[in-house]
Amino acid sequence: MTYLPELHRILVEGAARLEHAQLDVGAPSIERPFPSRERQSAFRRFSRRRLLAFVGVALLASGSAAAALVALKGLRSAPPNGPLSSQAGAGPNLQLVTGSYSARMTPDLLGGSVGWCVAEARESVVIPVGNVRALRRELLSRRAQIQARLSRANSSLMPGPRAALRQEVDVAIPRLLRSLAMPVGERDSPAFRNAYRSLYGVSGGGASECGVAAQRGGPIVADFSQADAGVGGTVTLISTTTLVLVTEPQVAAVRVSPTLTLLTRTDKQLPGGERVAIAVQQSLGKKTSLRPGWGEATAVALDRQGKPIATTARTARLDEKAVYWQSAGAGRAPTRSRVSNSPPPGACEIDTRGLAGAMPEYGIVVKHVHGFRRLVARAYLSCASTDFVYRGQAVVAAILLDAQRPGVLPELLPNARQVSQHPQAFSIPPPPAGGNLSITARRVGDAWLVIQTAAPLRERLALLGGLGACVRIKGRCT
Amino acid sequence: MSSSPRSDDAALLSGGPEEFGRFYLRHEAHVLRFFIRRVRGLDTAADLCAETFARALEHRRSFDPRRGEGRAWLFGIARHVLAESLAKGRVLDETRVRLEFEPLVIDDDSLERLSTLADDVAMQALRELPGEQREAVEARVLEDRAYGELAVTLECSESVVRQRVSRGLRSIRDRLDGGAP
Repeated sequence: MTYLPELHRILVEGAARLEHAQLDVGAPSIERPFPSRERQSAFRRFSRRRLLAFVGVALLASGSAAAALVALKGLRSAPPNGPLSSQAGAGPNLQLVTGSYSARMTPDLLGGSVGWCVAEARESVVIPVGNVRALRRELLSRRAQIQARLSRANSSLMPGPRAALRQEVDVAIPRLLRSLAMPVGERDSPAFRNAYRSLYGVSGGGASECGVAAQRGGPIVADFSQADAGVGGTVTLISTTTLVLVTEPQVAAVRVSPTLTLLTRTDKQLPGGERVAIAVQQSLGKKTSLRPGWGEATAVALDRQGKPIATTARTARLDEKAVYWQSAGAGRAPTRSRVSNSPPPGACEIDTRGLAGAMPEYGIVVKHVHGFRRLVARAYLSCASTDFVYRGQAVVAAILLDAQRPGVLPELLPNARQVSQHPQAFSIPPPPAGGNLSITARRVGDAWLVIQTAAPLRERLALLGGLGACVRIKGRCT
Repeated sequence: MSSSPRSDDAALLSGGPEEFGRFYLRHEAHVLRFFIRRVRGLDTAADLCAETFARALEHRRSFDPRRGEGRAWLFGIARHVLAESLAKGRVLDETRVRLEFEPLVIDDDSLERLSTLADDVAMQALRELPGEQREAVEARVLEDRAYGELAVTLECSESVVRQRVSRGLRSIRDRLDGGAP
């Protein structure tokens, strides 16, 4: 058995090359084949992607100098969703920070826009894992406080909060007390984490960028970081940094900094062939950057040979000419744009009048659809969007067309699943970490009518059913 | 007549590509263990291992079996690679660049295999502890049992348990950091 078959192959091939080099020159001793300068530099670029990248030096518990060698994780792209690796801080009350992150790609709904929104979010929870006595004391104290509160305000508490407190006293705290007998490793189980959320809370953060689509000459479609979140008590601070890049299909890797090159990967959320590179880094102490010394410099796309791919596209964003409107009572700042209680006529129209009590706020309508032929991967064009409030919930509605071939039914939204018992409706669930906005869609002619809101599925289906939509690409309204 | 490892290594190092491949397979696990004990990160250990074997390939003709076994010669190279990497704060790749080696891509399967090796390293160090220390470390660190409880179970004072755990952990640490390859 070999642990690194790849290295075995490289060595055997390397030995064969050396042997040939010797035969070629007829030299009795070893001749070192000197690669061309271009090849050397290309190799160095590529080798950095996973060999080096020492971001900071951390001593192992032993404190030995040899232990100071630390490689950055995730030089191969991290998956779009995943757990944050547990990080234990030091101190008398040992804490374990754990949680999850997610990177989600969804179509851009803003009227006139083409492409995707890329959103990154993460949440962390601090779990105390050390000092069992201190934890037990804390839990017993918390239980006593809640019991005192219940006995003091039994009659004045509403049934809901009272039931929640009883649940904590009768179920959550006993479970946590029992869990203290668990080995430390098992305390990072989902059940333990969820049980502790009620007591210790969750922190999180995120970033997003919209309006991005892969077009010829624009290898980097979206590039954003960083979203640092320091998490921890008085004992330690653990920060999480994330980086998400979306690229054209031919981009094999992205050089983010002189010491960090990320390999790209495909993702089912980007079925048009775009690729994504994600890095997640957690570190103790101060915030760290995944781009040391590079500031805001742009990432460099690399092809399979490690050669840079030039950016020739003139603009990063793609938009159709569109008209902005807002309702007279929307309470927004005065604008020169059209003020109306209903959207102006255009290539696509969204009508909220079928929803009793819906309050349109503003929207964007594309007057004439032309399409974008320079796109190299599948993308959607939002032909019209309307923001409105319905039953206290903010809702965004949009009509999505195929951006390259308007008038042809675009493919189903990536990651969308048919809603059970509603064959015409499809839904994209919210990301596992952060955010609670779901997207739900139904077909309207050769387009998709889409809504995005935090409302539950039943209300989303009612919303979709009550909205009117019209697509006028081929003249008549469909 | 069976040949000694020393002459075997000499034959492999003076042979062709396939022979060098066999030399690699013979010593791969030992070199990987050497680095896993000393650096954090399996990727890093694999890269250091790659640089070590690249140097071994480059200098294979300089191996002199009269001066020691192939493994000792190889670990001499490994120590140099580690020391130079630490001094420069990065994994060396100069030899691989010079020899035009393609980058080593470590897939999930390789990582899985390396992690079994890493577990093996730590557990081996634990197994090699004297009985009382091993028992105390297992109970305290792996099972997270309280010192007071352990004192009752092991029929000794709490301070004795603490001492055994402390000594056991120190022995493991010493072994992982600077022990024999």
